[in-house]
Amino acid sequence: MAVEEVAFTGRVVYIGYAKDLVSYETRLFVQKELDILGSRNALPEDFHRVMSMLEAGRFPVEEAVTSVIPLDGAPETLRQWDENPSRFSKIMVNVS
Amino acid sequence: MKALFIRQPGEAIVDTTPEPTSAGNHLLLRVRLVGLCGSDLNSFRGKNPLVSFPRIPGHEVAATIVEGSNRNPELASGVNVTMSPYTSCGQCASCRRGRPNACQFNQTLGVQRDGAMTEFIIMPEEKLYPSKLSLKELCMVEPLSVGFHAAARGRVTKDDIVPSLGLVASASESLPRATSGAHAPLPSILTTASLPWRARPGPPRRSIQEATRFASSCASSPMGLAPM
Repeated sequence: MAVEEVAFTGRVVYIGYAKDLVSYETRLFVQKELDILGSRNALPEDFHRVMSMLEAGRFPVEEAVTSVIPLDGAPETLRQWDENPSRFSKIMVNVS
Repeated sequence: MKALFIRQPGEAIVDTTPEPTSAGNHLLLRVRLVGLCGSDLNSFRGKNPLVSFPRIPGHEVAATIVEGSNRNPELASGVNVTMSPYTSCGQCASCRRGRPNACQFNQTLGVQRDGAMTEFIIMPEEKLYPSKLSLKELCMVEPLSVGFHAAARGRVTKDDIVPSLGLVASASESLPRATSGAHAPLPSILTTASLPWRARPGPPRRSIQEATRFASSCASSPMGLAPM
């Protein structure tokens, strides 16, 4: 879908994994002269830039966290998340 | 000590496991807060191709140093840290080309090896990032870093319009901030309606078709639509 919707000469970046195969018309790569990239994990410089952003207060952490749960609550929360993925955004487990 | 185990797809329990002991340049850490991400949900569902079972998940970590470093005074007992959960071999093509994040033999905490959903872990000193940020902020560092890395790979600039399909909100929200300076305008992030958006200041929810129409209507934009 991303390849179909992207503008001509645009870029598509894949993050994360899918177990199922994806298929699309490869003529679009050439016709639109696309850049299609993978992005894996992060480098130390990404960590440093993020921490600078957080230290400057430029990211709304509280808004991003849906719930904080105890470790013992994690199995049930995983099940609830599995049943309704859109119910949670970022879950944090408070271990100690 | 207690740990969260995904025993097999669809089955998660809290059980006990032996405590680790520090050794060499590995420091003993008390785990404080661990984030769950979309890849952990995929692990639980048996849809993460990199995960074997049973597996302790957890790669988004805020922790406190228990035993301080002999070598690095910044890594003292009681200091809070986040950490890089990846490994790199130094030998493969990725590592030799300066891209250890894509190490062929990477073992991410909670994915190819057991992770941090437990009371204590040990980690090499060089993986630790000490900070006075709050535990919640430290816990957000790794997922935001993944977003930053993707923005860097996509060469996203303030002039881009960036629909994101299926990304968790935190990664999407980090994308504009990855590309801008402190006061620069942010690129527009458009998201598909299926993302679980929080309240403001998150970007507006739109279908991908609406995003395409919106971008087409920006007659002055030279970049058009550049989805990630």
